Amino acid sequence: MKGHVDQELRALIPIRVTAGITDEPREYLAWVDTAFNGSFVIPRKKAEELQLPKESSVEAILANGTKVELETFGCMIEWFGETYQTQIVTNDSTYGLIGTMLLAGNKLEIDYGDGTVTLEKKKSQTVDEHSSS
Amino acid sequence: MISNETRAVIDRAKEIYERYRDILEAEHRDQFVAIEPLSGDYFVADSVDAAVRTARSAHPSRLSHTIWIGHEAVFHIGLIEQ
Repeated sequence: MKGHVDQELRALIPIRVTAGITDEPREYLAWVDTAFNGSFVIPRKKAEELQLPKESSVEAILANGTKVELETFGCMIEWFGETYQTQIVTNDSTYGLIGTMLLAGNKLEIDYGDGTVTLEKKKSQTVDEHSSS
Repeated sequence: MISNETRAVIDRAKEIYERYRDILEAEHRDQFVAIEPLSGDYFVADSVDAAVRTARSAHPSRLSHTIWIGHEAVFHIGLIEQ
């Protein structure tokens, strides 16, 4: 999987998301966040466009130590050729976030010199398998 | 920002978690529990996704609140803007 480093030095990689298995997936660029232990954060406007169903809520701790409550939405994500049903949260940013739940089992290489991001599958692993690790 | 509906679900689910905290943290530490507050049912699984999926199977139209058993929060997020 190939991405790029943008002018603001954000490492971005594409992810395909859909509300349901029969819907046409949409591709978004997401910012790699190795300090995020979930799968995917989607911009709120994108979640509204996809009409993702609200299904649950969680508490989360942000980088500044603040604890917040977030609604979670059910969606399907395509990842290395597999489709997963997962819970995602929203943010108010331009870009979503890809967290370590999706990065686990893969090799991430960010080359700030060339401006390239490469994510290479290292072993077979489902999203669910590393949700509590 | 969460809705009033979600606010009510979280508050009630936390009350239910407190009721079962001792047994959950003794027997299911590091697993996840999705609590559906209208029924009082809770669903323990090894992942957030599995816990919510089980709760939605039992109560398809209802919201749950999900807690990582024995932990302060389910997610840590480095780059979120609030």
